[in-house]
Amino acid sequence: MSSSSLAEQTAAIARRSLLRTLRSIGIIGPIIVFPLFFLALNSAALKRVVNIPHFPTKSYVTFALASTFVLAGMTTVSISGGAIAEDIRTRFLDRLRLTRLRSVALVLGYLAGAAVIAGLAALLYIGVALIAGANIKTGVAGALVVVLLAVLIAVTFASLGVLAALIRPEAVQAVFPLLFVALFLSSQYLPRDLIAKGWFRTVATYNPMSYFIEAPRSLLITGWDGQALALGGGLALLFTVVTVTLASARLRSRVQR
Amino acid sequence: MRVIAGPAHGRRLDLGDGDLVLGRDPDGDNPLSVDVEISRRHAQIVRKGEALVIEDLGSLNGTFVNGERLSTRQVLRRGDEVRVGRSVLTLEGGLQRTVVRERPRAQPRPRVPPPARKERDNGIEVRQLVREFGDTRVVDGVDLIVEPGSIQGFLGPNGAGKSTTVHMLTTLLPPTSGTAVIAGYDIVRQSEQVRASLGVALQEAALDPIMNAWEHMRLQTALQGVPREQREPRARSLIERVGLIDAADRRVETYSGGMKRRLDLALSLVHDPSVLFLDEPTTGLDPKSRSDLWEEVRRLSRDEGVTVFLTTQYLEEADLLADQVAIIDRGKLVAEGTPSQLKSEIGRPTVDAVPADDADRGAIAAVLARFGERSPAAHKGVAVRLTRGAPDLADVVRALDGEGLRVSELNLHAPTLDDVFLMKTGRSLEERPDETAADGEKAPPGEVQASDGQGPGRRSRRPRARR
Repeated sequence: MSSSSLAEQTAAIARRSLLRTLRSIGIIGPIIVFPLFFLALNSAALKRVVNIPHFPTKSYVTFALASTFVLAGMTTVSISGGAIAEDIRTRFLDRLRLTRLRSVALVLGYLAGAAVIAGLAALLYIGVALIAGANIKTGVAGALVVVLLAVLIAVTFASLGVLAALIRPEAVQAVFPLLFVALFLSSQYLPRDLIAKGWFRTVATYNPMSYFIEAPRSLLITGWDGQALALGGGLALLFTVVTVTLASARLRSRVQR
Repeated sequence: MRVIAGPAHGRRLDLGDGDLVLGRDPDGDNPLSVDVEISRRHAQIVRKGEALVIEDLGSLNGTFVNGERLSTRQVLRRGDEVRVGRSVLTLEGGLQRTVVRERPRAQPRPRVPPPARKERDNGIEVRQLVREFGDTRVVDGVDLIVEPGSIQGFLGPNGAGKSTTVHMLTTLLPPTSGTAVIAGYDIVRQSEQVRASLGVALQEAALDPIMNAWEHMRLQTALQGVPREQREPRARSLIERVGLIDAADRRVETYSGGMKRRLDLALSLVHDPSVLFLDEPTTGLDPKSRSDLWEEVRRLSRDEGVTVFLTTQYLEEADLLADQVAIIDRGKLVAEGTPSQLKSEIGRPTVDAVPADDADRGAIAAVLARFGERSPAAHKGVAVRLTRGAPDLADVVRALDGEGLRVSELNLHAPTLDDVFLMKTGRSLEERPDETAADGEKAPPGEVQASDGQGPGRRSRRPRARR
């Protein structure tokens, strides 16, 4: 019996990940809807912020929409991390490890469910935001890139969840609050150049969350901004590669303890 | 019969006057042995008068005649094509000559040939295997040789080190020291090859509750590298074999414990492993499910030559199934041999008396003590292993009668594996789980205590001290 290819193994795990995700939609549904509440809340509470001189748009819904994608991406920590933690608990992971499955295929496969959820959620958020008066500067093409960015950012967070679960399954629960704090310390509510100079602005400048938000935000408000896209997309890709590599190594070392 | 192409190209198969079993036989010179997709006993061609009749012997991948899967016996005619694994047998030249040629298909051969194996067998050789967790030595220098194609029972109470040993042998846990060779591959240095050779059903059936049997099979066959076109037939064959075809569309969360175990077993067989590890496969099963699983394990060993390593805490299971039994206690092997060899070490039967009046317990124990040494007793009973064996029984009855002691039951028991364990360790095998310490840990002192069978309801439940 020959060993199946990396792509085939990844696809097999991804199929299961999607199956689990779709069959757990009753549990996952509220997780998807949760960022919409923040969008509604922020848009209502902060709508006058657009009156600040040099604020880039007159629609706070459009401005807040970008951070909604990031918040949704953060929820995938519990989807993918929770799935692998459950597989560790039920020993299903041992079943998978006893096959000829490559570690990296396993990790990538687990991320598939998160990617699909993030894509569906992004389409939902864009639809709701458009109904609420948001507009997308870059049009349909930009909206598609926004969805792709949302998926990439979600995969980044999901891989963090997988890594946390492989280090210690209980750690998955701790990741989301930490990311939530990081989100607040970013350019979520205001463009960085409008944040008063001081520690907050410094933190926001060095906080990758800011760039995850600013990449889709640029497509929604500014237009095609190569630098914002490269920073946001590049950082997300870099983080994903690092966490997937670490998670794969961790998975291999699970049997070497 | 001559092989003209494919894995067995150029070789001859002689039908002779008898029956021909098509299958792999690594120890023989059967040309089909080189085809890894053929089961060890795949199909059989039987001569019936002037006709040749073919039947499938429960092969994993099925036998096909002219493209149709064989479900019953079928008479072969000249020119018929019989496909087994990657080979096609074509009957030519009447009954005496059959030609085997490779089935043409665009299937890649295994990219990496198996590395040099030390032995061409599917046995298990364990050498000084040790596993420590911190300061606790859970498995302590286990040496064991399991013959290819045999069923090895691995018996011990909870926490004895059985599962830890299985986890090491299946490469899920690295040994602290020592090693083992499974199917010719070293568990430390060739873990990938070991995994490819073995099937494992762990203690708790590791299944996804929201997936059904087909979905489990699809995942397992893909990950085990089963060729794409064989996945569905193999999945169907295995699901049918374990009797789950009617439930295969249902989510596993609706399955009973027995059904989960059977699916687990089927999943462990998708890649036709030569060694099968079953870690307490029948724990928690009802008698019918247990019996069905035993039959399947027997069939795998008998018909397919699979080496089975079976851990259990059920004496009956080891006694009925295993060709060889190894008993482990606190990480060390304390006994090894066939069940009958081990029991013959005890040799003598036990007489077990239940007092009619509990006040007579002490007196009955004193009378019985004249005939042998104390032994684990049945519920409310007192027992001794008879010094002279069964002939003592009449004297026991006379002695009790002579003392005016009445018993409600008097039973004579042949030696059991529990007696073997008791003799080797001073404790009974059938401990209560809640009285068992974790792997490798000593039971709290208060729980390993002497018992003379006077405590009610303690038969074979509480660990006993050697008497």
